[in-house]
Formats: sequence, structure tokens, C-alpha cells
Amino acid sequence: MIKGNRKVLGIFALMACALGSQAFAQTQGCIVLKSTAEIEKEVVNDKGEKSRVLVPAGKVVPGTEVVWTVTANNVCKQPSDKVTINNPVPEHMTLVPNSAFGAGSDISYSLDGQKFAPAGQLTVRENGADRPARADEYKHIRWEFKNSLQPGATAVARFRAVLN
Amino acid sequence: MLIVHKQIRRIGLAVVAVGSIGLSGQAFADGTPSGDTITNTATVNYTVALVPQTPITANTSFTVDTIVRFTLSGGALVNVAPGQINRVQMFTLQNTSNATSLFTLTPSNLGGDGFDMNAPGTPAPGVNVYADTSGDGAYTPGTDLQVTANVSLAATGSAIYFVVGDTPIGATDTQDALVQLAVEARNPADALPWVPDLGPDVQGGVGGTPQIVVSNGTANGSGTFHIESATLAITKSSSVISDPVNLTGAARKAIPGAVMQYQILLANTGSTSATLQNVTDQLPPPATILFRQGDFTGATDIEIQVGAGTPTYCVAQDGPDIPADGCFRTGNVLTVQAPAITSVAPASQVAVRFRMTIQ
Repeated sequence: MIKGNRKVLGIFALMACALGSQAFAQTQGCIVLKSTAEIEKEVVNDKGEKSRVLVPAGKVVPGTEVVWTVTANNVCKQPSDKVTINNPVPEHMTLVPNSAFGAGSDISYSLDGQKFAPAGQLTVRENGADRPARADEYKHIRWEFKNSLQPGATAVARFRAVLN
Repeated sequence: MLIVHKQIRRIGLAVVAVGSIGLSGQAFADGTPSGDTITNTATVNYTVALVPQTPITANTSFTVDTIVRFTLSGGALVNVAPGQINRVQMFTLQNTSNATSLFTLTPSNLGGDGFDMNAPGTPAPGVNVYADTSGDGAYTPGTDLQVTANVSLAATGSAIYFVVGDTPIGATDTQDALVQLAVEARNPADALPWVPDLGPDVQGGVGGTPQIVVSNGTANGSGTFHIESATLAITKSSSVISDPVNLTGAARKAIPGAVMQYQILLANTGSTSATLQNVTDQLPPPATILFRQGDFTGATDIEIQVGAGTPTYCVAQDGPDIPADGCFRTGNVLTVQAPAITSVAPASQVAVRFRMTIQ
């Protein structure tokens, strides 16, 4: 009986493990998503050579250009497919033209968060006529990664925006 | 896949770096308030084994720091005349910070010039600064209040201030008086000059304490009061036109019955036009010498000539100036005024001529 109970407990333990893992997948998912804010800063090495590096956004005042980086890391043992990152341009910030980047992704933009289109294909109705939307009018960015995100891999999406 | 990841990151950095070329210097800033929280919200959607997964969201925030900066514009070359009061230099102060700031306003006379302005209403050197209390963009004495303490301007706010002084009567033509308005931004928290935060950069996050970045904490504006004065000289001379014996001959003398011509000459050697109110001349009693009428062109009494221009004429009748030509006599006093004469231009002269007969 004791042995039988141990078997039952073992089965429950396995089920709990499975359920726990599933619960983790539902609440945390297979992807760990991170967003960072950085600014570009000039540094000088020991040889006096100048270079520009990204450092965490410290003093940020109006006019500062912030580099936003979003990383999606697949922490599961299965590939993640149709990975799509949506990122509204933060309030009080203006997207820097041509700054959105994401290797292996198709990037599209939206003025309202509903209709997305590649750069240059959005229009704004003004004075009764349509005109191409300017990059600073883009309010949403979407990265659609064309390939599966393999276990352990990280997809990177990045854009620059200036604090108004 | 780690290698792939690194490659992606490298490519990403390279492209972003390239993307930044030519983009710097774009002006988007319009002053997001200090202390505001900026949050980036990213959401990822994906499927696993064809099953849509619950979207994952990540937020990152930073606190907008305080940028201290302002502009001071204005100050000009203002022409003044000796003795003029409440002469004004106008300045506009704009707080281009993203936070409210105090400002000290310090007006002063500068050295190295020709003279100092006097503090309004006093004979002592000095200048005062006044706010545009009336809001009309022009100095209104008695309404616009003197600034004697720090002023406060909200983020992006602006205000007009006037540096005012009286021109000393002793100032001379073409002299300059340089005046300055020195402005310093101060922290409302302690009314002391803003101190830049030189400590480590702090991202702040939600509700963080803003750090202070001082772009410009002081500024000076200056202006010049330039004396433009009329310098008038008046001379009176006489000549004999004819006498009863020699007539108009060269030997004519100022004998009884002789016709004399008098000339009052107004010469302006200053740098600005002099406005004339009137020219008066106390004539001798008629028993001695008698004012002649109708001697000039058109039976007129007075000849007026500006510079070497064509003379004009008027009638100086005894009594009120009925024809309103600007010339008349009241007893023995001859008066010539507008419209006969109105002003004397710089480096010019006006001659007033009339004739009398010696009794």
C-alpha cells in the first residue's frame, strides 16, 4: 500500500511538474521580453581614441535621443513561430526616421495602432488631400520576424526616439 | 543560436550606428516637463506548435531630468537727447527649461563708454528694470512695476522687461551709454543658482527624482543709449540796404532814413533735427527805427531761407496771426513760428530776414 501510495504520489508529482511548467508557459511564456533605454555616448580609450557606445539612459532631457532596444529570448525547448513585437512610440517622444531595426524582420509602422504598412506607404489626410506620412508621425512600430525563434535564441528590435 | 544572436546584435548595432549618421541635430524638443515618466511598452505575440501564446509585455521607464536653459534677447541702439527721461531698452526673457525657474535680473551701467544713464527720477547714475506689468509690450511709467526680487517663469514661459534710465542733461552729442541686464537662473527650491548634478547618471524609473543639467544658467543682454542732439547757434546781424543820400551805392550808411535789413540766423551743428517752436525778436521803439512792411516779394514782410534754398515769405502784421502764416508782431515783439519755420535740419541753417527804417 505504501508502495502503491508512493506510485500515486510520483504520478501526482509528475503531473504537478507538467502542470507547473504549463502554468509557467501561460503566465511567463516561452519568451522573456526585455526593453532597455540607452543613450549613445562618446568615450575615449587609453590611447585617446574616441568611439561611441550605448550606455544606460541616465540624464535624459528634452532633445536627448534615446535608443530603445527590445529583446525576445526563447527560453523554451521548442521554437517560437510568428514572433511579432509591437511597440508604440513612447509618449512625449518622436521617432527618429529610419532608425527602426530588427535583423530578419519585416518592419511596419502605424499612425493609429490599427493599420500597419511599410515605411513610406502610410498617408495622412490634410487639407482634403492625402500626403505621405512623415516618420515623426509614426506612432507604432511592428517587427514581424520571418524565421522561427529557436530555443535559446534572441530576437532584437531597436529604434531611436527623441524626447520632446 | 548564441552565435546567431551575437550576429544579430552586431548587425543591429552597426545599422543603428549608421542610422544615426546625419540624424543628429534634429530638433524635436518641445520641453517634456521635468519629472515626467517616460515608459516604453513592448509586446510580443508568437505561436508555439501552431498554438497562439499569451502575449508578453515588457515595460521600461525613465524619469525626465531637469534641463536649465533660457534665452535673453533684446537691447538695441536707442537714440536719446540730453535731459530725456524714462529712456528704455527692452528685453525678452524666455525660460526654455522644462521646469519652473527663478531668475535674478540685475541692470547696470557699463563702463568704457561716454556717460552713464541716471536712475529714473534721480540725478544719480543707475538704471532700473521694470516688468511689462501692463502687458502692452511698451514701458508704461507708473504702471509697469520695478523688479526688485527674483522673478519666476514657468517652463517655456517668457516675459518682457525694460531697463530704464534718464539721460543726464550734461550728455553731449554722439556720446554713448552702454547698459546691461544680467540674468541668472535659480532653483525655486532654495533660490540659489542651479547646481548641475555631477553625480552618476540615474535612469530614475517611475517616479524617480529628476537630475539637474544646466545648459546655461546665466546670460547678459546689453543695449546702447546714443545721444543725438541738436546744437543750435543763433546770431543776429544787420546790413544797410540803402540810405537817402547814397541810395544803394557802396557808400550807403546807417543814417536817418536808411533802410536796414536784419538777419536772424539759426544754425544746427548737431546730429539731429531741431524742432523750432518760435523765434522772437524784441524790436526797438518805432520812434527810433520803424518796421517796414511789403518790402519783400509779393509785398511781404519777412523772408525765410532754409540753407541755400529758395526763400519763402510771410506777412508780419501787427496783432493776431490772422492769415495763420506764422508771422506777426505784438507791439514791438516780432514772432516767427510754424508754419513759416518748423525745424532746423542737422548741419543746416535757417535765416529770418526783415527790414526797418532808421527814423
